[in-house]
Amino acid sequence: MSSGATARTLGALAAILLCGGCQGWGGPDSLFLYVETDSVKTNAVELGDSQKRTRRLIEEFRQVNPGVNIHVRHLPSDAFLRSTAFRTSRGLGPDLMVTRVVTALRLNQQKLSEPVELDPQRLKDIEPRFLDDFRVGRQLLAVPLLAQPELACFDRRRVPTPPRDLNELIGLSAKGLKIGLSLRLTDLYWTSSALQANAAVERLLEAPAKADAGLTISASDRQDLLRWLSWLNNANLQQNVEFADEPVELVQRLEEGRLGWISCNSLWLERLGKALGPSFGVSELPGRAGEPAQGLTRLKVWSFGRHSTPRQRQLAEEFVLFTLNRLNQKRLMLTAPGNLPVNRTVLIPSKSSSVFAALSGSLDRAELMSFKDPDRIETRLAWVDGVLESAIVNAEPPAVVMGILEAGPPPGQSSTTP
Amino acid sequence: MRLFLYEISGWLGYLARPQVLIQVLVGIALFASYSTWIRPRLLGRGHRLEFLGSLGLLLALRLSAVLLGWWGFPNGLAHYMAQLFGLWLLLALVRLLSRRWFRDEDIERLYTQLVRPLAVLVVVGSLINQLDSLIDVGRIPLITLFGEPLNASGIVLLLTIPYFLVVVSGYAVVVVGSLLQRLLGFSNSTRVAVELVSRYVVIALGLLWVLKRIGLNSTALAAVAGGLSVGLGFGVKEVFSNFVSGLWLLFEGSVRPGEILFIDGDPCEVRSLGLRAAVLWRDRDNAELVVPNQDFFTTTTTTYTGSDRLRRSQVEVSAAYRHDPETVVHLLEQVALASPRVLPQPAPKALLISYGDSGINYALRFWIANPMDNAGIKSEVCTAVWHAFSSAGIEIPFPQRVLRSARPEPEAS
Repeated sequence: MSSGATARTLGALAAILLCGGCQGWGGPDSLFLYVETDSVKTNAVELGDSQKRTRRLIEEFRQVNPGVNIHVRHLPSDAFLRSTAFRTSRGLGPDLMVTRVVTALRLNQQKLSEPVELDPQRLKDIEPRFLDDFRVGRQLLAVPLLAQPELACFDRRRVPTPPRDLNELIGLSAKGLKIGLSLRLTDLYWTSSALQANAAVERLLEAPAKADAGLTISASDRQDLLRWLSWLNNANLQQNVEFADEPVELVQRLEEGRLGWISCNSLWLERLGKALGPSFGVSELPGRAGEPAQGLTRLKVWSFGRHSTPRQRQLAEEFVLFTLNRLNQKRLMLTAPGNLPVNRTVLIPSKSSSVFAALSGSLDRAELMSFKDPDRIETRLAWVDGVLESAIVNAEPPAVVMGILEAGPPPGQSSTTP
Repeated sequence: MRLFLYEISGWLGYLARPQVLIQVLVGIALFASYSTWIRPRLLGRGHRLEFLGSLGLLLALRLSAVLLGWWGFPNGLAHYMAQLFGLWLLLALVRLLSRRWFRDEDIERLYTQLVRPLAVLVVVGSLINQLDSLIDVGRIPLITLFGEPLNASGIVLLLTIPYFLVVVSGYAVVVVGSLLQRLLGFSNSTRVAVELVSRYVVIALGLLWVLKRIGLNSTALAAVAGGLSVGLGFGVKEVFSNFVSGLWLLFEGSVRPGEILFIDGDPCEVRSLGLRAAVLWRDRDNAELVVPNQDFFTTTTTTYTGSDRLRRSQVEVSAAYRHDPETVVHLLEQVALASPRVLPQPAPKALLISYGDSGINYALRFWIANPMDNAGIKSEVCTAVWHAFSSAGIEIPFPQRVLRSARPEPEAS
C-alpha cells in the first residue's frame, strides 16, 4: 500500500472512531461487568450455573432497557485486582463489579472503583447494617447485593439431629461421627464465638503491631484466646475431627461420605444439595449451652468502575438498583441457593423450609467482619491462618501458640501496606 | 456463534469512552504522520536512515503515552501501541542483521513461514487480552462438532497448531537429526530418514494432542476413523498405499533422500520422500522425477548406494592388432590411475575383451566415489586414453571398407 493510501485509510479510520466516540454508532450501549469468583481452584464449583442465572437477569433488565448489551466476565479472587488494574490503566476497566467486601474496599483504595451516590429513597429497603459500613458522606463505596452466611452442613443418615453446642459436637465425634473443620480463621470464627472468645479474636486482628514488642493482648483477652486455643487443641486430638486448608476439601469429603458433619459457607449449598440429595441437612452452627454460634457472613457487593461514560454510569446504576428490587432479590434467593437477600422487605420462607430457616437464623446472628483497613486485615488474617495451621499440624500446646500470637507477626507482615 | 459475536461487538463500546478514544486517535495520528511525510522521504536512502525514522516513531508513541499519563489520562493502550511497534521494529532489525550470517532466501522463508504468522497470533491474542479476558473469550462456544460444543480457543487451536506443527517440526527435526548424527555417526541418508520419521511422529502426536485438548468426542472420532477406513478401501486407496510404502521404504533404507537410483537407464538422486511420492533429480538434463512410492515397492530398483556409494565404471577401446596386448593393458591401467577422479583402490583393471574385425577390443574398468559423476569421469578417462595412445603410437583402428566397382564381363561375340 502506498503512503498516500495508508494515510487516507488511517484518516478514514480516525473519522469513524471520532463519530463512534460521540455516541454516534447507532448501536447498542455496552456495559462491562466483572464478577469475582472464590479462586482458580474452586472457580467451576462456586460458579455452578450462576452464569445462566446472570444471563437471565440481564435479559430481564434488557426488557426494560432495550438496546443495552451487558458483557460479563468471571475473574478469580487472586487475579481480580490485577486484571482490573491492568484494564483500568488502559481505560478499558469494567463499569460494574461484583466482589467480596474486602476486594471492593481494595478496589476503592487502589482507585480502581469510584464511590457512587444513589437515590436514598431507592435504597431505603436495604438492610442498614449491610449498607452502613460503605457510607462515606452521601456516597457509597460499594452497594450490597447478596449475603452468604456460615452454617453447618451434614449428612442426615449419620447425623439425624444436628448438634446444638460444641460439647454435643465433640460428643458426637467421640461416638464415631467424622467431623470436618476449616483451618481458616474466617471459617473457624464461629468456634471462638461459641467459647465467648470472638471479641478477643477481633481485637487480635485489629491490634497494632509494635516493632520488637509484639502484640498487646490484655489479660482477659489472653484468657479467652487460651480457652479457644485449648478447645481447638482438644478437637485436634480427637480421632474423628479433621482439619482442612481449603473449604472445598471439606465439601468434597462430605460428598464422598468420608465426613459426616462440616462447617461450610452457604455458597456450597447448591453443590452439596445435588450431591447428597435428600440426605443433605443444614443447621445453624453449634454454640454454647444450646444456643447457636455466631458465624461470619460473606457479602457480595457492587462496585462502580472509573472510566464509564455518563450513559454507562447511568445504566450501571439502573442495573444495580434493578438487582436490589424486591422482586429480583427474591428471585435470586430462590434460584441461587445459599444466597440471601439484602433487601429486608423480601420474606425469607423460613417456616416452609428448614434450609431457609437455618440460613435466616445464621444471617440474623451473623457478624460482618470490619474491613476498614483491608490490607492490614488480610495480612493479619493470613498470619493467624499460618499460626493456626502450624499449631494444628504440629499439635502444639495452646500456651506455645499463645506465645507466638503475642510475639506478633514478623516485621515484613506487620506493615499496613503489604 | 451468536454469543461470540455479541461479546466481540461489545468491544466497540469501549470507543465511546473518551479515555480510550484519545489514546487510539493519538496513535493513529502519529502513525499517519510517519507514513505520509517521514517514511516516503527516507525510502531508498539506506537501511540505517529508514531504521532511525522508525525509531523516531517509536519514541513519539512512547512520549505520547507518557504525556497522556502526565495529563491524568489512562495511558496503558498508548504504551501497548508503542510496544507493538517496538516488536515490529525489533523483528525488522533482527531480519536485517541476520543477513550477515544467513542467506536471504533462508531468512525470508523463516519469516514467511514462522515469524510472521507467530507475530500475528501473538498480536491478536494480546490485543484481545487488552480488551477482554483471553481465557473467557476462548471459552465461548462457537460451533457443535460431533455433538460436542467447540469453543473459540478450540477452533483457534484446530486452525493454528497443525500449521505450526508442520512448520516448526521441519526446523526442529533438522537440529535433532544433526545432533543424533554427531552422537551416533549416522550417514546423511540415515539422518534424513530419522528426521522425516521424527517429523511424522511429532505431527501425529501434536494432532492427537489438539484433538484431545479441544475435547472432541472420542466415540465420534472412532466413527470417523471407521468411515475413513472404508474410504481408504475405495477412494483414497492409492494415496494410503503410497504413504505406507513411503514409510516402509524409509525404514528399509532403500529409498532415502540422498540415495542414487537407476531410473530408465540414468542415475538419479533421491531429493525427498513425501507422503505420496519421491522426488528424484536426474543429472543428465536437470529434470526432477516425481515417482509414486508404490512403484519402488512393486518394481526392481537398482541402487548404487545400498551398502556403499562406490560405482564401478568402464570404458571400451580398440587397439590395432600389431600392438602388444600386454603393453596396451598396462598403458590403460596407468591412464586410469593417473585420472584424478578415479579411485586408486579398488585398483583399475584393463582387460582384453575380444578380437574384433578392425582391432583388439579392450575394457578399462575402474571405481569412482560418486555414482552421479560417472558420465564426466568416463569422458575424462576416454580423453586421457586417446592422449596416451597417441603418445605411445598406439593406433585406434576403425573399420575400413574398400569399395571396388565390378567391371562387366565382355559378351562373347
